[in-house]
Amino acid sequence: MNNLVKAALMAAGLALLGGCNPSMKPLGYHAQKPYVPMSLLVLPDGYTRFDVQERDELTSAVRSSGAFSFVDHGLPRKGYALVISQPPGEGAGFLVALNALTLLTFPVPYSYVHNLTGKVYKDGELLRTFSYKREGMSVGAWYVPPPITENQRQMLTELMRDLEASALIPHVDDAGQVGLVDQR
Amino acid sequence: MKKILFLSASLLLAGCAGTQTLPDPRIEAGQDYLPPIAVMVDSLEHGTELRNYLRESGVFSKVENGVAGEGQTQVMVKLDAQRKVAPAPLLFLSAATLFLLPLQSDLDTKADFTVMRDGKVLKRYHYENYMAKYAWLLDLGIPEREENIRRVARAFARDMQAANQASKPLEAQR
Repeated sequence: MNNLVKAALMAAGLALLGGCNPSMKPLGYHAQKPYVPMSLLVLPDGYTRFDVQERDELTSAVRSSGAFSFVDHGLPRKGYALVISQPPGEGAGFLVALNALTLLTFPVPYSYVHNLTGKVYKDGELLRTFSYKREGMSVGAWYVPPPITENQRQMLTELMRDLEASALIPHVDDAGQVGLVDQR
Repeated sequence: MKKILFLSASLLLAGCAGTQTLPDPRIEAGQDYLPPIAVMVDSLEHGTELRNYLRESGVFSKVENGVAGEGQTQVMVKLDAQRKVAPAPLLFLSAATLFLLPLQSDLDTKADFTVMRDGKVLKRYHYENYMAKYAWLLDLGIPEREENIRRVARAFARDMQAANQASKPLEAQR
């Protein structure tokens, strides 16, 4: 194998590894006025590296909507809290795993169910639960991006819209809360 | 051979010690506990850690998370802790030596503490702590990173204690 082919293979490999990672696009929601300082908890809080990565991605997606003036993490005894979790649904199963034999090239169809739940707490008591669900078909192959990222983005967008519409969490007052928002 | 081993061992032991720019704050023992505080930290990674170090400092009678009740002291913390790691080529080089080659693994922490009561700002504190560290396989520098946050928390606890001792309870600024 000459050097040119090697270099081309290397470049293609790097492009596949680096360029095909589907990261979440910004939410289709932008807040007009931020909420009062509150807590945000995205579950699972992270047992594995992938959990932590997903938690960080969802957290930053929600935060980038500009809906929060100040975010603490955890579930507090006092004040407002939003807990986002993803109840187990269905995903690619055994057949798609077997597809590894074809190096994930053969498009094996599978059906999926993705769930997302947002719970609003005040002083440790549950105020309301928002549930979202996406069902559909996809194929497991290396050239088809997994639908979970886009589904998460849509469900988070809906969650933030519904949260705004529900008016459960008060917004930052123009008077008293300015010191919190802008520190310097 | 022995000399080389000895030299490299002492270099690793001595050269890889982490340094912190913020000296370890001295907190006076035997003082009364300060009233409970509610602490909100704007950091996904270090929020819980910071609260635990505040509890550990032994200055406050109670450290809660979330929003303070009426008349209670609220502390809002903007914590910005940036990891500074070696550039990728060096990282690969170190990996090629099974991480025997020490790498830069610093932590640059800037923290703004805002002390409030009933929605009014009483006082603001700012702390910076830069931890410089060369990490390798058997010394990843995790205790130094924890120490970095711990010192920031203790510095705040010390200053709150000092402010209380000066026997002028924090007054509203406006």
